[in-house]
Amino acid sequence: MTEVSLPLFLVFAAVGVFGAVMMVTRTQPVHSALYLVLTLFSVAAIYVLLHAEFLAVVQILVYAGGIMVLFLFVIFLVRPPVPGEARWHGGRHVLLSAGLAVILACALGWHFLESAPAAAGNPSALLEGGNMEQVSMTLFRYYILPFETVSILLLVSMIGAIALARKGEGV
Amino acid sequence: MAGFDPAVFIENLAWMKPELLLAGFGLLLLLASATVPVAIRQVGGWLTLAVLAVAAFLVTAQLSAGSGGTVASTGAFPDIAGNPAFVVDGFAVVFKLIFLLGAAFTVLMSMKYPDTDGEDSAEFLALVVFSVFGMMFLASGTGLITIYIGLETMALAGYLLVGFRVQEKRANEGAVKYFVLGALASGILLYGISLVYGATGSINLYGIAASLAGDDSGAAGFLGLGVVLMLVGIGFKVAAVPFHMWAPDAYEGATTPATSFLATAAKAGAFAMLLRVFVTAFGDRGADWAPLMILLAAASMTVGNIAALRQDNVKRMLAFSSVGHAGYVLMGLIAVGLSGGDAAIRARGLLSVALYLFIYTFATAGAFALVALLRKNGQPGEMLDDFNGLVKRHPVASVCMLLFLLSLAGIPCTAGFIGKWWLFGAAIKVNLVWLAVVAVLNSVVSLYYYARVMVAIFIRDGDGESKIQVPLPLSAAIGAAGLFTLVIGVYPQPFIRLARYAVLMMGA
Amino acid sequence: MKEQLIQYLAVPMLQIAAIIGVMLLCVMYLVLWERKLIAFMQVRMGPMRVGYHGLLQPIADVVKLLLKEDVVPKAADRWVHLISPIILMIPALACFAVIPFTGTSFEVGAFTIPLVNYDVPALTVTSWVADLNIGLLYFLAISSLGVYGLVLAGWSSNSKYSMLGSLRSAAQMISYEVPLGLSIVAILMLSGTASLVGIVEAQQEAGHWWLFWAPLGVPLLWPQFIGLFLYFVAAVAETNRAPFDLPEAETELVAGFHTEYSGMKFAFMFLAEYLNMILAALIVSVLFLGGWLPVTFGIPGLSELFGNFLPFLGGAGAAITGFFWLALKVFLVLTVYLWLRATFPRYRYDQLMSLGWKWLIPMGLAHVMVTALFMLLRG
Repeated sequence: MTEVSLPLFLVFAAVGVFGAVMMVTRTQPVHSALYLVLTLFSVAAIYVLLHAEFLAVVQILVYAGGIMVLFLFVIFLVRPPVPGEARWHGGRHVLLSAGLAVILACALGWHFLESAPAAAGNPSALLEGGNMEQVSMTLFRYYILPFETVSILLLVSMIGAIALARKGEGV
Repeated sequence: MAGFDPAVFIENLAWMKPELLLAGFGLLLLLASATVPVAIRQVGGWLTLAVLAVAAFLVTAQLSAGSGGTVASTGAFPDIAGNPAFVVDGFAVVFKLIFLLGAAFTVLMSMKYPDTDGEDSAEFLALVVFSVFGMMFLASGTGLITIYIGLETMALAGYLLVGFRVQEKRANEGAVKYFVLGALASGILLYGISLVYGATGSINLYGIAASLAGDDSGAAGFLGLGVVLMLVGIGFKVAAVPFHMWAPDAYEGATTPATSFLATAAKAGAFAMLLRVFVTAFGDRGADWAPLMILLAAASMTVGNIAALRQDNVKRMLAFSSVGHAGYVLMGLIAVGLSGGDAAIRARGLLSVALYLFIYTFATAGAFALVALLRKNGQPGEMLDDFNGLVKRHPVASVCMLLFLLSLAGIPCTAGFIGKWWLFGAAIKVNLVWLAVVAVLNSVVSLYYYARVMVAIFIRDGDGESKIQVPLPLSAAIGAAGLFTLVIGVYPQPFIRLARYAVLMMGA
Repeated sequence: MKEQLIQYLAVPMLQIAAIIGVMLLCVMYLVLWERKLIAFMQVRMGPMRVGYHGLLQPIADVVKLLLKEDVVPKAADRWVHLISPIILMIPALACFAVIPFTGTSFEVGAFTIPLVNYDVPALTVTSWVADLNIGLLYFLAISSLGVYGLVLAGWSSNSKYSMLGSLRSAAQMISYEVPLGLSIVAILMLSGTASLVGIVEAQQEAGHWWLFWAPLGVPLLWPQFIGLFLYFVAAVAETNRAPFDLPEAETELVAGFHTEYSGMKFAFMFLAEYLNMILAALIVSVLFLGGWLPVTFGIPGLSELFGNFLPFLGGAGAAITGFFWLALKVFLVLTVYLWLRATFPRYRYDQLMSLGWKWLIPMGLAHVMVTALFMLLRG
C-alpha cells in the first residue's frame, strides 16, 4: 500500500465499521438498511484501493444498486413505519456476537502475525491491462464450470419462486 | 493469458454427460409443461424415470471406461494450478448412483398419487431433476466453488420441494425453517471456505491438500477455525446433532415423496460433500478433525434415537431416526480420518459409508412409500394410528414395511445388518470400541420405536376398512425397495463390490 | 509532488466545477426548450414574459425555487427527508466523471498565476475527469443508486401518494435496468472495452458509428438499431420520463415521490431528473452515435471533412469541434425525449411491467445473441 492509500484505507475502514455498528443498533429498519449501504460503499472503496476496480463496481451495482433496493422495497411493503415500536435487543445477542468477533479477530490476528497471507495475489499483474479483462479471462478460462452451473442454480430459484407464487394465487 | 478455448471446453464437458443429460431434461420438461401440460401430467413421471435410468447408465459407463473394468479417474476443468474442479472417479460414480436411486424412488412415489398436491406436476419433477444435478457436483466437484454451487442447487430445490404445498401450514413452517437455517448454514460454510482459502491460498481441494502437505507449522488456528465452520455448515446439511433442528419440521411439512427425497438423496449428497472435502483436502490432518466428528456422531445417534421414541407421527419419527442414521454413517468417515495412512482401514471406512447409504436409501424410501400409500381423501396417513391393522388391508405392503423397519434397526438377515456390521467394524478398527458400543446401544433403542410401528401394523386392529388399491408406480417402489432390502441382507457381495468402487477417490 | 498534486487534485477539481456549472446551465435551458417545444407542438407560445421570448425564464424559476419556503411534513422522517434529494443528486452528477466530451486533449503550457506568483507546470488537460477502464460499468453502477433517492423520498414523506410513487419507481427502475444493461452488452462486445473513451476510439477505428455497424456489409441491416431502441426506451423508463412517468403521474399521485417536497429540495430532485436525461442522451451519443466524431463520420469522403472547424487553433480547434458534434447529438436525442413526452399517452402500470419483462428483456437477450453471432460470422 502506498502512503496515499493507507490513510484512505483507514478512513474507509472506519466508515465501514461505523456503518456496520449503526446498522445493527438502529431500531428503524430503513435506517439500518441505509447504514448497510454505507458499509457496502466503504467496502467498495477499499476494493478500489486494492486495485480491484471491477469488483468495486460490481459490489455497488449488485449489492447497493440491486439487492439493497429490494431490501428497502420489502421493508416498506411488510412493515409500515411505526416509530419507536421496535426495541433494541441487547444483552445476550451482544455478548454472543462480541464473543464470536473476538475469537475471529484472534484467529485472524494470530494468522497474519505468524505468517504472511498466503492468498495474496500479485497486484502488479492486476494493474496491467485493467482487471476487468483479468477477471473475465480467469472466469472463463478456469472457473467456467461453476460459472455455467450458476445458471441452473438461478433457474431453480426462479422456477421455485414462480411455482410458489402461482400456487399462492390458487391457480 | 489464454482465454476461453471452446475445444478444451467441449473436451472437458465429455466427462459430464450424466449432468448435461439431467440439466437438458429439466429444461425440456419445463418447456414441455408450458406447451403440452396435459401430456406431461400423464407421462412426465415415466419420462423422468427413463432419463434417470439413462443417467445411471451413463454414470456406470464412466465406471468401466478405463481398461479392464477399472475406473478411469479423470479430472476436468483444471484451474490455474492445474488442479481439476471436477473429477470422475469411483467415489463419484457410486454416490451418483445413490442419488439417482433416491430420486427414482421419489418419482415413483409421486406418480398416480390419489388426489395429488401437485407432486405429479412438471415443476416438482424438474426440481427433483435439478436437485440431483446439483448433487452430482457434490460427488464430483473438487473445487470449493463448484461444490458450493452444487450444494446450493440441491438445497434450493430442496427448500422448494418442502414448501410445495403452499396452502398447508406445516409445509410453510417446515420450508421456512429449512430455508432460514439452510441459508445460515450456507453462510457459515462460505465463511469457513474463505478462511481456509486465506490460510492455504487455494480454493481447490487438491490445492489445499498440497498446501497443507507443504507445511505443518503455523496457521493452525486460522485453518482450524475455517475447517470447524465448514464442518458446521455441512453438519446442517446432513442433519447431524446439534444442527438437526430443521429436519423434523421439514420432513413433516413436505409431501411424502419430497420427504423421501430429502432423507435419501439429499442426505447422501451432503455426505458425498463431507467425504470429498474432508478426505481429499484435509485427509492428512484426519487426527485433528476426527474428534469433532466423533462428538457429532455420538450426539446424533443418541439424540436422534431418543427423540424418535416420543414421536407419534411416523414422518417425524423417521426424521429423527434419519438424524440417528447420520450419526452411524459418520463413523465411517471417522475411521477414514483416524486411519493414519493405513489403506485397508481407509478403504473400509469409505466402503462402509457408501454401502450403508445404499442400504439406508432402500429402507427409508420404502418406509416413506408406505406412508404415501396410507394417504387417503387428501389426508396424509402419517400418524402411527393410521398404520393400525394394515396387515389386513394390504399384507404384502405390511411385510415390506416390516423388512424396512428391521433393516433400519439393523436386524440380521436384512440389509441394515450388513451396513451396520461394516460401519461399526470400521469404528472398532480404529480403536473406537466405545463409539461402536454407543452405536449398538442406540440400535437397540431404535428397535423400540420401530417396533411400535410393527405392533400397529400387525397386532392392533384397524377401523376395518377394505383393501387398499395401490397404484402401480407406488407398488413398484415398495416392491423394489423390499426386494433389495432382503437380497442385500442375505447376499450382499455384489453390493459390497459396487461400494468398493467408492474407495477409488482420485488423488487422496 | 507538486506536479502530481496539480495533475491529480487541482485539475480534476476544476474539471468537476466546470462540468457542474455547465450542466446546471444546460438543465435550465433544457427546461426552457422543453416548454417551448411542447408549446410549439400544442400550438401555444410557451413562456414569453421574462426576457426575449422567455429566454430569461429559467433564471426567474431558479430565483423562485431558492426563495420558496422549505416545508417538511410533520410526520416525516426529517433526516431521511433531507438527504434523499441529495442522494438523488450525487449519482446524477458523479456519472459525468467518465463522460468524454471531446476526443482531443488540451495542452496547457507552463504559466504563473498572478498575484500569488504560483508557478503552474505544463499540463495536458483531457475533456474527461477520469478514463476508467470500467467506465461503462461505473456509469451503470452509479446511476443505479439514484433509485434510493426516489424510494427514500417517498418513504420519508410519510404520505401515501409519495409512497406509491416511490414503490412504482423502484419496481420500474429495477425492471428496466435489465434491458438497459443488455443493450449495452452488444456495444461492449463490439468495442472490446468498457472505457467510454475506448468505445469512441473503437468506433473511430472501425470507421463508422456502432449504430451503422453492418456485419454483412449490407446497408440497412444494422443490428445496433435494435440496441439503440432498447437503450433509449429503457433510459426513458429509468429517468421516469413520459410515457413512463408513472412514479409522478399527476392525475393519480399528485406528484408522486416529490409530492411533499418544496423549495431547494424540490429543485434538487428536479435537477437530478434533468441531469439524468442529459446523461442518458450523452451515453446514447457515445455508445451508438460516435461520441465526439463528426455526424458525417463514416460517409466515404466526408469522414475527415468536419473533423476540425477551427484549424488555426490546432489541437484546441479539434477539441472544440468534437465538443460541438457531441453537443449536437445530445441536443437531438434530448429533443426526441421531449417529443415523446408531447405525443405519447402514459403507460398503465401493468403495461409498463409487461413491456419491460415480456418484450424488452427477451429482445435484449436476442439482441446480444444476434450480435455475437454476427461477430462470429465475421470472424
